[in-house]
Amino acid sequence: MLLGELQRTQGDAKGAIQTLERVLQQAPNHMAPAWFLTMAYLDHGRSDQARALLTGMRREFEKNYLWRHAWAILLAVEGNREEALQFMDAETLKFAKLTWSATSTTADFYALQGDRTKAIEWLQLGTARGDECVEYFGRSLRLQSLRDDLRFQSLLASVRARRK
Amino acid sequence: MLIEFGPFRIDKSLGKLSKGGTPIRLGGMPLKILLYLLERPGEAVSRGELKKLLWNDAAYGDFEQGLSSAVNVVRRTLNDSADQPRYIETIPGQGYRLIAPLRSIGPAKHDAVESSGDIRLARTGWRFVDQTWRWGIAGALLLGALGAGGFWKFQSKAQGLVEGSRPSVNQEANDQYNLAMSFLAFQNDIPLARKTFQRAVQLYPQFTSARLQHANMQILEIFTGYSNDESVLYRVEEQVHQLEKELPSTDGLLLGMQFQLSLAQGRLDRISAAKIEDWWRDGGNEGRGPPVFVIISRMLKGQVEEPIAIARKRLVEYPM
Repeated sequence: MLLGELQRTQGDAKGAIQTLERVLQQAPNHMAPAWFLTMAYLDHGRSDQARALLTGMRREFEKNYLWRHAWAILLAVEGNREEALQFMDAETLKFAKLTWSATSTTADFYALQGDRTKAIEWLQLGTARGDECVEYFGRSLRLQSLRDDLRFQSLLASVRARRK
Repeated sequence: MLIEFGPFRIDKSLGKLSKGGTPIRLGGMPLKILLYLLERPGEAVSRGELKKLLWNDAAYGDFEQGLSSAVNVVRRTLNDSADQPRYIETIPGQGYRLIAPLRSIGPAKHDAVESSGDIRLARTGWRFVDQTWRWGIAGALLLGALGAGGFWKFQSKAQGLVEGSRPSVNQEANDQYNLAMSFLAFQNDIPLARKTFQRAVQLYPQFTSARLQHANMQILEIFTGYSNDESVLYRVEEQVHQLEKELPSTDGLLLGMQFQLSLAQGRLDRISAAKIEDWWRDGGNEGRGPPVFVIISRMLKGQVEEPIAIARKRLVEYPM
């Protein structure tokens, strides 16, 4: 599963999908690989596959915060702003603050929703909690709307400086 | 004996399931249930029979949930549905029935490689599994069960624990511990594993490995979306501090738990990356390569090539 996520953040969405589909085949009732696979599908421009995956798991996992988080991001990608907010509610955000894989990714959600300030706040939280994948942040298509924002550029620069 | 149903083929002697020639991993309780139903096509199999099959009729408190969860794993693996079953039908209030037409296609030919590993699973039931597919599951469990990266043996009779674990003097507590590990590894059922580890702790409160795993499951419940309760972190921190007084600082389970807690707290600076790497390089993880938390700590530092190389190496050594 981690290999799939590494492939995805490296830009190899197709390889990530192959890896994560295999993991999910072996752990079919596990939401974590499904969450990573959703992100890989979205990176690959296959929101239809992401939707099919999450819809198939909805009955069992609708109350699961990872499912709700992934579903909210999918809805945001699809442009369903209001419905997306219903799933990225206060309880899901509480979860996202505690989970290493979800914290920075919540910035994707807000960037897609057009709320750059909140997106940057979530990225700041993610980096403060130890997620220093700034190269990926700079490349991420879902964070594209932040690239010309000085706060975003400054955040990436500060993490790079901290690493040196 | 090879049997086909729908697009699936199963080698009953090896317990190997495949679809269109592609192996599909199914083990533990779910595999036992499927094999049992395949022996009785069209017959109603009661939950009591399955209880006897899986737990030797022992009265484990979480049996009902555990069985339902295991059947769900079989259904998901077969892409089946309880509402519109194609393979396994639920008989309300009674049990289950295999409704798929079966095609027997004769004895299987096994080569040496096939017979080297999983054969133990099929022939001896709960006598588990080397780590060949453990990596996939451990990865799927984020940090995985602490200690589940290795193989363990689980038999119908009480015996030892997962490598790296410290058994208690209470055999019933040890049995609960092993049961919890099976819920975790084969059913990915973290809430059920957490309750079962808790039961082991209740049976023997000094059981350090069970206390560590119980703490671990509480964090994993957050990481896998079952909980968003931040107060869990404070309780777990207290538990870990207590265990730090009781266990050597080089204890692999403890180290993994410290990492897991720090990760949830967003305080990876609290645990020395060098300490983890030293532990691993000094032979921690029983020579099975770096544990998952080494990969995660590097991932979060933005490293890509080296963690990928580590993960690929592990997959070569222990393919999914």
